[in-house]
Amino acid sequence: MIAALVQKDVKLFFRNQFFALITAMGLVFYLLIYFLLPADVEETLPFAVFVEDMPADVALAEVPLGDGLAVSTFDSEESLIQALQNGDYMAGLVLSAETMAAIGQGEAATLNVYYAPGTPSEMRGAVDSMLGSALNAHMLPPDAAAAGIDRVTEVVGLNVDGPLSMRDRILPTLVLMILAIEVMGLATLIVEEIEHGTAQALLITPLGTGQFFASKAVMGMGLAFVQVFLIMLLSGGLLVAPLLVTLALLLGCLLITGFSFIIAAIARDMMSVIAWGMMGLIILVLPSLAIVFPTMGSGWMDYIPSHYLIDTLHRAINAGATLGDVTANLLTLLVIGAGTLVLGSMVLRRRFA
Amino acid sequence: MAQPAISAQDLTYRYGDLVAVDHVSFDVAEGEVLGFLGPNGAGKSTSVKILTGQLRPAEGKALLLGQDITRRTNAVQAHIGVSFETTNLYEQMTAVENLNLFARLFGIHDFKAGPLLEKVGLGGRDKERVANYSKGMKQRLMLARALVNNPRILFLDEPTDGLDPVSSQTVHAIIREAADKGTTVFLTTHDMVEADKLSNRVAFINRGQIVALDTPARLKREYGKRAILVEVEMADGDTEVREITLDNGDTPQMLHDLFQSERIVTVHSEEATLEDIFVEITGRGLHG
Repeated sequence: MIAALVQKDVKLFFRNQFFALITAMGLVFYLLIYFLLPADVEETLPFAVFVEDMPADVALAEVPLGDGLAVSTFDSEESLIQALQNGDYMAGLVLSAETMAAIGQGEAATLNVYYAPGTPSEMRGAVDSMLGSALNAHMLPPDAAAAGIDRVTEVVGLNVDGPLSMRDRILPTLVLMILAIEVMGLATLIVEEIEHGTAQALLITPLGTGQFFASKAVMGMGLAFVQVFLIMLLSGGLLVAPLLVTLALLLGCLLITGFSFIIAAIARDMMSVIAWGMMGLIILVLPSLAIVFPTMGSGWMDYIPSHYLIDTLHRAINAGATLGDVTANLLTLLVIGAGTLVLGSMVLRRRFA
Repeated sequence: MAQPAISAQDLTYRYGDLVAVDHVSFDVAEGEVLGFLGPNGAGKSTSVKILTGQLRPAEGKALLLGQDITRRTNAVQAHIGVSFETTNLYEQMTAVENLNLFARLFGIHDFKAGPLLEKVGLGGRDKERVANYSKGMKQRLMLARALVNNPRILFLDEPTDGLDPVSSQTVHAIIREAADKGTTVFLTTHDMVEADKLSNRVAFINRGQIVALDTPARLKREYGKRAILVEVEMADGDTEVREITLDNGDTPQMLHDLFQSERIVTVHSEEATLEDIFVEITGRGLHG
């Protein structure tokens, strides 16, 4: 009997085209996400080095800076910093001729070490120690006393004062989670209006379709904005850069309203809104992983629209970024947000038609 | 001649290859109640959707109050009220909130929901959430919503479908009152008795085409049999039904003799019902 019921349920499940589609798409989608994420374990640390006036007879690859460092050389200090800012390397060392000479003579020397934004403090400490030991061992004559090495470390890109607490790292993610949930809320509201026929009743009054959409956009943006604004206000994030954060939040709300419209256009009921919404939520949240867990970032995550919101908020509240620092982010967010809203309105209008 | 409230001119609408409305033309005068009758899938709802601006006709045009509904949709919609067949109210809101919302959409600032709710018999439960209402109450609230803007044309789609007799009576009274005040009523219904009772004229639609359009009385005369059936009691207590044709010259005498010589039990006219007429014209039933 149970087998018969199970058989019946399987049949009914796959006769429902939506669930059949979402099951198949889900499998493909989640596998895609899985395979897009880096598969290799990073056993070596990508490390950038610039040596000023490097003697022609010294091959840097021979310098045993330490096991686990994958060393690349650069032509200038500027290009090294740029590579770190791009996220290609986690740490970089600049060795001036003066420094090399001092170490070689066993004298006190100062090392300039740069770190990419988000490098954990533990990692920085480990690299600093490793560099000191390696340079002493390589450059000093055998049995010579170790040179005193002072390290000047600098984090390039974001000007983060000291290590970030988990709550500071996770704040932009929380904002994004709220917005993503709001995507589902607004999409459900619209789908219910369509399914229950109330939209039909509204549109038979002098209310136009454009006004109907506008009301939903205002509602979606308003509701989302109030929530994220409160979160930022109560957490103190808003106080760091009120204008910048508010602007970023507004643009984020614009983006999610567009997504809501798209989901409302393709979803048939609340369940399908949740199914589509979860897919969207996973995608939107991915860029925030790079901030919460700095070593987890991947370059392709920058192509996800929410990256521009997350990155802006992170820079504004955790690194004291100014409007000039994040203008490109905000403009990109504005263009993508407006584009998504226009696209969403178009596909939703087709459903109404 | 006065301008008709509704003028359908060669309306055509297709769903893919299916012609749902096929070159339909008719006029409805101001203050007239037109019963729009037909079986499921005949094209009734599609016609209503075109007339109310929800669908754009593939061919032809619909003028409401002299304005093309396709071109002046919002302007025309300001003067119409629609009660849908399926309930589409905001169920988590109260009756008053539902009506107030629609009044605002119509730009009515001094709207009072109370009198309208009293009229449809919902006076005592106006603060209750609509989700708790019975089907009849919801249907009456839908009618009240359709009347919010004091419409010049009222579209009613199966307004009494599934209602108890008392609720139906209330709805009928409201329709009649609206018509008496000059509102044009476009009544879509399966209920032939209702259509007969309320409509000045009825239109039969079948497979997307209007197959008959006239007053119920004329249709009955045209398609009915002019005869009366007299049931008489026989000497042994049994009854017998005799048909007397009305158009013969000796009909009065025959009736006189019958009443003189026999004990009459019942007398019925052989008037056709609207459903009989529909079947006769289309060869199919209204519920098919």
